[in-house]
Amino acid sequence: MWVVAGWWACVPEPSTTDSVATADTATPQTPPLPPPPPVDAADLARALQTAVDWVPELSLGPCYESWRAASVDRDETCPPFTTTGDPYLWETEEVCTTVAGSRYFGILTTGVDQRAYVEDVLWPVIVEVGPGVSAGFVSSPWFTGSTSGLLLDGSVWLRTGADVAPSGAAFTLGGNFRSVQAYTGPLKVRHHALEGFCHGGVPPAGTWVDAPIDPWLHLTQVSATGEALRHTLVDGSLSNLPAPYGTVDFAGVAWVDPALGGCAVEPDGTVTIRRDDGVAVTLAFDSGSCDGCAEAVPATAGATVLGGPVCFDAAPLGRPLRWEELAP
Amino acid sequence: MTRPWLALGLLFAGCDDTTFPHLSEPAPATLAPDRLLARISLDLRGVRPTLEELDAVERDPALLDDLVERFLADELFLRRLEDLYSEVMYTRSGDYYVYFDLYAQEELGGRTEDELVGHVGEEPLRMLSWLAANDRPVEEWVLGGWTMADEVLASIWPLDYPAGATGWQRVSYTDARPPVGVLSTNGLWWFRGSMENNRNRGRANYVSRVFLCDDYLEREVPFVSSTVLDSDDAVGDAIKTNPGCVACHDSLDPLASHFYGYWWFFHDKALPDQISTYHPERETLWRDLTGVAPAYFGQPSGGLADLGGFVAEDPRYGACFVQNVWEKTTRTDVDDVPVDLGSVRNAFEASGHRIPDVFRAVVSHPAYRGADPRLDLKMATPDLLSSQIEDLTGYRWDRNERDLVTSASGYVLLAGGADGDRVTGSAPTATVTSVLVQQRLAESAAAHVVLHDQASPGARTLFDADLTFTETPATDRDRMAAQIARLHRRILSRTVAVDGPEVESLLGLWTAVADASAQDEVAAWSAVVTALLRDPDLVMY
Repeated sequence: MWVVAGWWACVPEPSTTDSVATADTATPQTPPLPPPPPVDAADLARALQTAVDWVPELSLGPCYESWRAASVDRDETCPPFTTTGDPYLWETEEVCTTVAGSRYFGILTTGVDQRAYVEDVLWPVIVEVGPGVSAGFVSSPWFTGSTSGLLLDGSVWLRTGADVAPSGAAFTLGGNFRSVQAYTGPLKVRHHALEGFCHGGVPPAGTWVDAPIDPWLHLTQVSATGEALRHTLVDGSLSNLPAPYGTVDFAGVAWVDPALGGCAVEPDGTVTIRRDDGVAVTLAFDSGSCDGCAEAVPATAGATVLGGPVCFDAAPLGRPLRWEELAP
Repeated sequence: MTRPWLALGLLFAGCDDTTFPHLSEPAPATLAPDRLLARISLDLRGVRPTLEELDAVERDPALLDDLVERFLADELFLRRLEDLYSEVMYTRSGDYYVYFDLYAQEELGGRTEDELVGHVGEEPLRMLSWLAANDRPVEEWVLGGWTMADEVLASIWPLDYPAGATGWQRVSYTDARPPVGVLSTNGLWWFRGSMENNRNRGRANYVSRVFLCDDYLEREVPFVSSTVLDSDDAVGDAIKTNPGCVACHDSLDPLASHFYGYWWFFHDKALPDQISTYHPERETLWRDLTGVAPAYFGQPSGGLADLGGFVAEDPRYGACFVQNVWEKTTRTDVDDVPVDLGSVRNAFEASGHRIPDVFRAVVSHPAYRGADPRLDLKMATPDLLSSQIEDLTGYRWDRNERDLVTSASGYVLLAGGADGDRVTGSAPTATVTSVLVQQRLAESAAAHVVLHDQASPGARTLFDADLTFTETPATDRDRMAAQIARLHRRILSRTVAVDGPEVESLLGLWTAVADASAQDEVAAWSAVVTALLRDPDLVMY
């Protein structure tokens, strides 16, 4: 055995332990890249406000309307379409062309039955939040209530006569979008899960699809039926907001009506604002302080902040989330 | 069974065969000058030395060092660098993660996957060669908001490519991707993806393997209970709690969390809007998908924007670059053939991490120059086979503007190349299929150059300017013998006597083919050139 040990002792380690640079030669230093410019608290406040103002305006509706308007000349063979009630599905193996000359590529599922989603995803949230929103809410192991809403899940490239560069598509969508409304006991729940992009088509003016904003965001709002007291939860990010602070991320952001024990001007949770060069800062909000402000803390290396705390108006988080009744 | 005996032998040998003098000491050039020149020329330029270069070194072997400097300044060195690193990155030869179908549509350029990969796969490689050409440290590969693109990439990606320009230019992406050089290029992440439930771990290992020379897939791991794989949840739990899993996932998963800006649903991988632009709104998806925040081997990270700095400052990065250059140049694995690379690392450090200095040190290393018998003959890669034959004959085996010898849609695996998936390492020696590829390439290239040179007496590629192609052994034996000897020297970098057996044999071949083809000189000369291009010495050097 000593022989083997001796052999290993002789063999230099290949990558990390054999001889490295000696100090007998001058080593030209690599000039470091210049640090990124500082972020300005006032710019951060504007970016945050822009993102927050969008929150109550987000839903599947504008994307769905845009898709419907762009795809009016679907025909019986293109795109191939199947349904067994719910979901509805079209899928192409390769690009197909309609009689009218439009081309379709992708796969798209639409579905109206949201019960399973509510039971699996929303019900734990409702159980946690519900008692604080309505004293009449009685928790149970499962959801018993009514649902409505629509799922749009897929990957669509649609080319009509109109040009929309650079994707070459008149309408293109990629991701999973869902809007749900549920009633259970004394509670009304609105929920939008927007995961992906929805570009082009004929979107309603002024909407996030018209902007366009790219969301990967979950919004959930719980309120007592017939009342204006709301508990709003925001998780995820919006990008393609106005440069240079084009991305705002919400982590566990919760706005609670003051009548329910919250603060009108400040939520709980963390917001990260990202400049388009990747530099990001984090703001930790605490409804307990209830001043609508937080200090910006660098979240990426080299980030520096000029100016004082970042303040914003949280009121949009307390507005009712957008809702449209949509049919596939 | 053999290792103890090997160990015993090495112990008594005092480990002398694993240590070599540094550059400050005279390098024992134990290879013959013409062979060493050919090796260096192939490794630095991808082509055989010219007759003039062979003559010069034959007269004065000391001129070799001057030629090394000339080779390093040659644009061909940049192409060779790209070839070499393509074997590390596989962006030329491997299967791509994205789907290219829609790019065949006219408004998206009307190009096939094969045509696009010929450009996409070059992006990371061109970045490296730009650094070499512009005397920049190799760390800048992973730093800064820049890339390299040509007009094809500019037509499908968000780039500030100059209007009206053509060819490869240093440009920047115009979307919101972090400025981390090659780590935020489409070329890299179109190629290396991760299935949805793999959570970017494939990409993390790619970074670790390519830039740090630490391949998680080569680590020894204990078997885990099959119940661990019963469901996604069970896998997720095991990754965090099972010691056999944690050993890798503790560092791999935080590295993987840097790449969610390139997260796509599986069925979206064909959409240009999905795959051509970066998605900052997805950077924090790790919160939902793994719950593991970005970190770099224990150091908290702000995400992809920080990754370039971490990698550039990691001592393994420079060491890995040196290792990759050594291994790909010598066709050895440092684990299997350990060699003291101190001289190469010293040169790398002393130069401020410049790329050409690493190559200069590699080709000056005594082991490379023949002092180490373990590094004797090595197999030419498909890139090297193709580039030297193109240089010798002007012929490239193309389809859709892609080299069939080196591309996945061609014969790269048959030719001995690797794609990182089905084949993870280039063939160390000739194989049945590589010989077949060499044969067919040789036949086509030979016919091409003979026809060309016969038709272009003023612009010969391979043959002597005064050859008329009407000579026969019966009428002009000496002239033909001289030509064959010069072909031998040009193609195989080896001097043979005009009355030697090699020339005699090829004259015999010429005669036999001419007799069988109604005295077709083109066929006869094609046979001679084919024979030389099929010689094992062309690919074992």
